[in-house]
Amino acid sequence: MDMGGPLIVQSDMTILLDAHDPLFEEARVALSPFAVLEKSPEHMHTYRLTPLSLWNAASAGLGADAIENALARFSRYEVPSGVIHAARDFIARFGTLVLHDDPDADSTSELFLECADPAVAAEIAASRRLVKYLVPRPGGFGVLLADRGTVKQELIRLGRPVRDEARLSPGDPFTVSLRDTAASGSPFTLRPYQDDAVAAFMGGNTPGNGYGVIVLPCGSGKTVVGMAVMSAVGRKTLIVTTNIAAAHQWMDELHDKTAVAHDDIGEYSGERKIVKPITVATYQILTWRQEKGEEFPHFDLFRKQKWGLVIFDEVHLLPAPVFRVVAEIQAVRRLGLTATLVREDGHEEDVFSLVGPKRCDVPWKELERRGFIATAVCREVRIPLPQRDQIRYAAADQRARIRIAAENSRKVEAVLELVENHPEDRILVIGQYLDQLGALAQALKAPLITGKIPNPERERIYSDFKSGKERIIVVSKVANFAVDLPDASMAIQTSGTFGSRQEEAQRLGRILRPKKRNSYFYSLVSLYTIEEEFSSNRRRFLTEQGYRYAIEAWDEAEWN
Amino acid sequence: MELKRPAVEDWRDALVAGDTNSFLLLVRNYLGAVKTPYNKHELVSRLEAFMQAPENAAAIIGFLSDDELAVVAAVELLGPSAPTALVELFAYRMKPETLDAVVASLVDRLVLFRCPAADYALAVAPPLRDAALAVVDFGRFFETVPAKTAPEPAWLTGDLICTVFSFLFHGRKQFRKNGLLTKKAQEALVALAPELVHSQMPQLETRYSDVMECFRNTGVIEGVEDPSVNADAFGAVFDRADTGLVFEFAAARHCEVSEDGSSRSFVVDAKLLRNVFEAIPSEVTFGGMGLWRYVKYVATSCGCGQLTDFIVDLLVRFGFVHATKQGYSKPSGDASDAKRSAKTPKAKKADAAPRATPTVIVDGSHVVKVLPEADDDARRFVAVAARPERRDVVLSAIVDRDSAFDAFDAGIGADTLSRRLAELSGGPLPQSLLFSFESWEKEYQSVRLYFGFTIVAKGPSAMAMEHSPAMKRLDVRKLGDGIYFVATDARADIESALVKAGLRLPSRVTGATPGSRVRVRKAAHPKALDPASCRAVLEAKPGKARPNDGDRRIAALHRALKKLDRKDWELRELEARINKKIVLNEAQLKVADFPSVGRLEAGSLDFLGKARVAEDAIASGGAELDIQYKPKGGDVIRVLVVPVELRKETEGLVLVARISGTDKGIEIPISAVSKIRRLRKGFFGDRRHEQH
Repeated sequence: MDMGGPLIVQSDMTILLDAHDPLFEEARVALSPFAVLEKSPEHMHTYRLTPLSLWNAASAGLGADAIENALARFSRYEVPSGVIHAARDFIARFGTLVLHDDPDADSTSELFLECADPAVAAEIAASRRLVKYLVPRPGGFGVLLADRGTVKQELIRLGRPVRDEARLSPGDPFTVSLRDTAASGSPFTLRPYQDDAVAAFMGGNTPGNGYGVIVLPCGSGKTVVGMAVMSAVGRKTLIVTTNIAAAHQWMDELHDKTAVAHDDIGEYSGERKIVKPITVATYQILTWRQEKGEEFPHFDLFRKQKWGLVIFDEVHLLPAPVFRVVAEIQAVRRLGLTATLVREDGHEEDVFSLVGPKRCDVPWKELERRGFIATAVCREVRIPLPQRDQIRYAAADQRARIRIAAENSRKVEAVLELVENHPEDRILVIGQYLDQLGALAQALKAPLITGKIPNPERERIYSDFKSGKERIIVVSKVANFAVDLPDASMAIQTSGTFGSRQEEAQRLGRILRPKKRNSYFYSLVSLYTIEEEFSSNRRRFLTEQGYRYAIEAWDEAEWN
Repeated sequence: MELKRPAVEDWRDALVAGDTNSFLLLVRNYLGAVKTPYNKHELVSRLEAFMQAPENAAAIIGFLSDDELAVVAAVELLGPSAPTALVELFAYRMKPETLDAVVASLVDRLVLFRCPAADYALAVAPPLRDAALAVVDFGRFFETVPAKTAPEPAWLTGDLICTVFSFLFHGRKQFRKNGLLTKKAQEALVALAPELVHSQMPQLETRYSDVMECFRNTGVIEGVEDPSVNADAFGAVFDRADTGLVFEFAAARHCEVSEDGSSRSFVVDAKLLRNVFEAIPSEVTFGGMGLWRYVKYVATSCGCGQLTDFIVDLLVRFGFVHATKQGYSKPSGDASDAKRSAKTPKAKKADAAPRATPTVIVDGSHVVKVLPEADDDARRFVAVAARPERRDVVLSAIVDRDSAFDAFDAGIGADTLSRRLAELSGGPLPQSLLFSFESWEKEYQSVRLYFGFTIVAKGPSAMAMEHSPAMKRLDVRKLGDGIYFVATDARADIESALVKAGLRLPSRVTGATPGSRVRVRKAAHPKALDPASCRAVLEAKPGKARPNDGDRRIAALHRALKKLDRKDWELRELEARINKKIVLNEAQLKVADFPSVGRLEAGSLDFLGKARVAEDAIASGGAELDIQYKPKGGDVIRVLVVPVELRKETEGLVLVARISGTDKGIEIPISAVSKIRRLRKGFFGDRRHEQH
């Protein structure tokens, strides 16, 4: 039966895709090259046409006609003419400005921004923010290599995308071969979506490719994608991670799955400053400086080496100062990896314009369906405050209420009960407040990892957990990101950072490594408190990815 | 539209029963001299045969001007109606006195007559009706031309109404003390409903103000200072809207407020508005006053012609009809269709099968999406249950604690929220939402705000409160020891029950007295109106072209007149008749018979002439006189009078008369008259100015 099409194209440039329509899959494939996936809940996915997504499509050779045809083919209703008009306008802008090497320049550190349209050239020349970076010349502007990123970023803000055909610095060659069998003995091969992600990033090594962001769910093997890109590029690589534990995991993975010699992998952190052809650094060390207002001394790591590739792990956490240096290294291939491109500071666009556009985004539930990440059962357990705390809560100000609700003493009992009910699971207990975490560790007789625990001790505990020596570990927010514990099958979240959607998703991500059993994610929330509101917001990213939470309340009677 | 038209028998009866002198004048004009004794019935038959002779009928019709045809069209359209209806229908096109003259002329020319059986309403003369109507172009009367392009659909839609309501209902601190929305709230509302701002009039005083006014008039927005939003009143709009939400809502724009402000009565009934809207075809554009005239016609046909201005205003104001450079056009489609939003594009394929999927989608993030196909009821429910966040083709609304509390305030419980949303979305709701509804309801119910009377009673009085049948009938709720609540604002009921329960009546009520809500009254229900029949009038094309040889015929008659050998005054009279188009052919010139009608005009120093004109008018049975005179010490006055008598006074003759159209008497000395002119009645009594 003709259902009229799975797409609803709206005049605000959003596109709704009916997940139950027989043409869903076809439409999804057709949309992906030019629209950004925003949400993928169970019934209706939301895509958006953005200037960047359209310019990205244009740079990949997709024309306005093809986009219009795709929309018309799958749309349930007439496509609003304004959408087509806007899409055509954005596509037409791409190519007006072309950045390429300048053969006439005295130095190789200069590029030429070609602009064939005098009106556009006048508009650009009139921009106060751009004037200091551009040298007017016949047919365009001269641009210093170091200003390449900044100029592109400003031009995008002006609505003038640049077709960047200037060559990328090749960087020093360095071969990274992926193993067929990991050093640990398990067979190793790329999964189809990982292959697709690498291909999307490389883009056939043509101009306009070799930089961008890959969005994949937690547990789906983003590190593997990073290594595969390193292998495809074959150049010296700098990997920047969130913390030292994550850096070590990268190094472990490189040792395990590539043929790179141990001596060729260096760690650049607070503890060691070893630069090798493959160097793994942390955001903390890069953004360290003696005094506020001083330069960041470790930014030289970017500048003084001939990197052929820089990988930004968990790119959604890229600290603001690093944006500056990323703007300088636009000649270097750049790969951003993330599962949750949600920034509370609203700088997603800066990530796209400086690191590069989103090249690949696979819905979480899609990979769950295909068995590449674990099926997660999400439950929220509402726990009443003890009577004495109810009185404290009623009398407290807002800030104190948050703390009282988060540290509800009954959560300890609830954790014990949940742990008892899941004897087969390997469990992470994750929380925000150290006192509570200490009490939990004591009650569970489990090791505790917080920011105060030295790294070697942390890694020992992680190692014990991985080896099965420990079934339960209690962790603070230091384990929110980039901690790879493949056998963790259950997480109990006792408290969190207000309503952070990203934190919730990342915490769930700790238990999504595929395994032969379902994973369980429990979130403990104090009944009739501010935590309910926070929780509602925290769930949003995941529910928009199609996860369903079951909520249950443990009544007062159960505690008496 | 099937209105009862007079039959030929009615026409005959009218002539037979009418004024004999007028009748004889008419017969003598058309048929020639009347021999006495005469048989009036026989004369009527001859006159009928004369009119139906094809050449005569063609001549009569051929003499009709555009204005005259318009009057014929109007008389036919109106059918037997109030005398003022025709004047109203021609407002903005003809002055009443001009219309009078046209009507009188058409009566003299046998095209129209006044039907005694229909309270002397004007009607097309049955012997000529077919011939006359065959050339009438009703579309021309209403100044219609084929529409070139279909205008945008009406901006007022069920979707918009529900969205604005939902925004107001779930809003927080959005009203200023003066009852208007804050700037921030206005901006948020316009972002959600951009059609509230007219593209050519970006100020908010237009559409936005109209919508807010409708919400106030329907009682949805209550109070001026610190207003509140009443979901019950919104529900009542739906309950009343048996003819379509948009019409019920739009009709609320014009209302009469009672003196104490407690009730509002709609001026225009929603059903009437809808019927008029449906009677307007979308295939044509009405030029000039055509739309007004058409609405007047349609509304008059159901006894509501006096509401034309209001109806036209509502149609244009809410976009049911669009004003363009060419005129007024109606969008195609059904304006009452709440499924349509201003942003809803057309279904891509008109023949696409209806979707099997539900029109409301609820996902795990508690976002409710309303698809364009959703009906009124679905939108209404979602409006109360969820707070709107984004609106385009699809409305996105969110269910959260605040929105749920609002719904509970509106009397919708967790069970209903769960059940209805599940029904609308065609499947089980996310468990997290079901749980949340229950949890929120428990929390909501943990604090109650009662509106009504609280009765505090102790000891035996408390026993009476709890066990007296009179109090039980009041549905008294015990809130605590000795504390009782009655959910009513009718103090008299409570007092009566307390007395019956044997309790002493409290002398005063402690605390604030409850307010009362605005009552909304519908407009008087009009008579039945069939839109399709009204439209049929516009769709009918003239049967044949109107003969366009009137001027040629008149010229020929004038030439023939010059060849006639008759007295000068007879020739002048005949010349006047030719000009008045009551001479159809040369034969009529020869046979025409007419007694002298006496002096018709005199002035200044012709004292005897002035007296003679007055005497003749009195003798004719009351022909009106147009008099200009100068009272002592005053300026010249012109007055239309019906003469009663000429009285001899010491200063000379004085005309005693009654001012036309009134009961007011007047006395005018003939010596003061500077000009006196007799206005002859038409053949059938219609006033017109004699022309010489």
